[in-house]
Amino acid sequence: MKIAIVNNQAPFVRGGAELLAEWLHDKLEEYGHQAEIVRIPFQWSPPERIVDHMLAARLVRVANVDRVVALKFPAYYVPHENKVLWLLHQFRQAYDLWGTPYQDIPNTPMGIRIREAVVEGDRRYLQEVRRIYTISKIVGNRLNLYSGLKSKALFPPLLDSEPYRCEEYGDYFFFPSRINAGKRQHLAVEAMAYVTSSARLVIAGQPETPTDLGRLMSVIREHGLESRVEVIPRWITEEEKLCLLAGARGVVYLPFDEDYGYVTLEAFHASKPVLTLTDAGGPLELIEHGRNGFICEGTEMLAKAIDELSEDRALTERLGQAALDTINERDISWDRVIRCLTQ
Amino acid sequence: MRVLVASTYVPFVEGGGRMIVRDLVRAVRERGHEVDTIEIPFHSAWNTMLEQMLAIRMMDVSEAADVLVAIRTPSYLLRHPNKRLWFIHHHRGAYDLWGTSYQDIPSTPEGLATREAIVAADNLYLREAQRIFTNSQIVADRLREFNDLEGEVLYPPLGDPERFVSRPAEGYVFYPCRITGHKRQQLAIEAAAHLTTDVRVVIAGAPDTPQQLGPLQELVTRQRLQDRVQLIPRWISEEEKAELISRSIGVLYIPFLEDSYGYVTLEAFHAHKPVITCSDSGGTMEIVEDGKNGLIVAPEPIALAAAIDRLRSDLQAAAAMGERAHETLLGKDISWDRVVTSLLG
Repeated sequence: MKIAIVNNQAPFVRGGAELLAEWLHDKLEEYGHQAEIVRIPFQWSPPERIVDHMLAARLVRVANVDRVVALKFPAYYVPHENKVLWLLHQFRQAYDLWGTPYQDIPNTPMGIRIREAVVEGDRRYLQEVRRIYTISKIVGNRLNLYSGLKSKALFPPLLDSEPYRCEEYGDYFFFPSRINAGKRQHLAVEAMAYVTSSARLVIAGQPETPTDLGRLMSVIREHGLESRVEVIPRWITEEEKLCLLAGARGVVYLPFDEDYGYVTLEAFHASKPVLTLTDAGGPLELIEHGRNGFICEGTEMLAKAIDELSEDRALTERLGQAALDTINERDISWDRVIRCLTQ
Repeated sequence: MRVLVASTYVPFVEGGGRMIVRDLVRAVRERGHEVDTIEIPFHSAWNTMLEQMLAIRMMDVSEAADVLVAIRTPSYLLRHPNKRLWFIHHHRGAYDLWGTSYQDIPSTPEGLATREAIVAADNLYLREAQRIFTNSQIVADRLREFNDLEGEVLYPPLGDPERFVSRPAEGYVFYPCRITGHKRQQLAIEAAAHLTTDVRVVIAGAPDTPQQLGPLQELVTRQRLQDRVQLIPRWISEEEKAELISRSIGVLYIPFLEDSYGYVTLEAFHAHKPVITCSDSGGTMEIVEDGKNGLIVAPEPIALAAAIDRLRSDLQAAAAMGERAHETLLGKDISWDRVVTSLLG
């Protein structure tokens, strides 16, 4: 089958969506299909451009393909009679981010009409697709809430889970992620102030801005945690990440309202329990409290969880094994993804 | 500098337009610039063309890069304050092929209106470009004739010219090209029946459709040319092609009325080999000079056979033409340095 993976494009920007499109492309070819990534430019500022690009996507023709797999707004408006959605997210500024500081679209009569156009566009045009899968339940719940559409969660697997391994349950907890306010590394540091065991914390990731890094370092200093919290403030290589995962006691991952988050999956492949907070979003769909990790209410409870794992090796191992088992139980695999998207 | 290379394409169809985008991206990147592409799917069905043109016009990439280089029609509809054009062809069915059997828009009121809109849009938006380059003189001539615009010819170099080297000639001429009607492999086989020297003709390329191949094979059998003509009816790798060119006496490139001189011609010239082409082949006339770096013959079997025999019977003269072919490349400065400097300058 000739399959076009239709995604948005912001020139010169690469993120999770681009990565997912490339992985899906490679896997479709591996499974014997012909695949091509089609990128439709999307510019959302000034906000009037949002509506222009919705119309543009609607007027584009993707000919000579048997199926379209569309990932994002507004590229998912491209007309095609055999279109399935693997939805990363809708245009959140018009939905759950409306009324928050991330709204972006102004509260002017014009802004409100733009928002209405987005909502109406989704309600109308997403009905045309043959099936809707979402990368997580939270995305599906929002789609149901705001657009009245049913969908099925189809968790994206890692491209290659083979190299993930567990070598030991060492004395440190690992927090891999870009360093910024939304990923909330600072809350992990605050939890460390309550920790009574000898556990250490290793934070690794590219700071989004120098300010983000500065803020994190000053929280560490404030609590006098320089000797127990290590920060690697740069993009780490795959091998560095695998190594740090392999030796960790567990993984701490505290994003705010994340859509999905590969970190949980990477930790599970390395047989590590994951500690998170109740408002983390996507990670909550995989983490089961007390079985493969802990879902904590606040930093004090997080500190207790860190202490519990540090002091109980058998418990850590049990949770680690359950973490690995979770991937099979939930059938997070390319076999399933390709089956769903091509059937 | 941040450079956006824009073009249109049909998914799953390889063509010259996509190759030129890939090669240009690499050349720009190698010269230290940041580069990304905008490749928009575009389907040339006449009754949705205007909608698709509008789609491209609606997309705003004006702040994404310092320069936008638009390649395949109608990617130049994209709005950008610093737009350059490397124009490779019009939508020809609305221009020079209008009124021929290749006209792909009907002569109905709707069709006529569509054609007029395409021409009007081109006339408006081609003029937004700060500088216009074309891939050949023919395309520049058409721009002048139909749109009253001047374009400077900027020949597309090969993506990977180092691959093509010269080795001592063995007893064959080589025609590497996808097998399809207007590339006229049939003419090459018909010529083979008239050869008087011991030269062989090697033809390699993927047939566009299985139906293209059958008649050629039949012709070889009917004329008992099995020892004379070797047909390799499949896609050959770049390595295979370079190898076959490097040991040939010369290269054939005899299409009917192409815009450009064809990558085949450049590949031959890089390998120090002369090119035999036809007087109605189009773009090859811009670079092949009869008796100097190749031979130009009438598009008929006896004349073509005589040209092939001529190379075979005086290998030294053929090799000398090959040397001048290579000098032609240097003389015309067909290089990525020149392309990148011109487009970004």
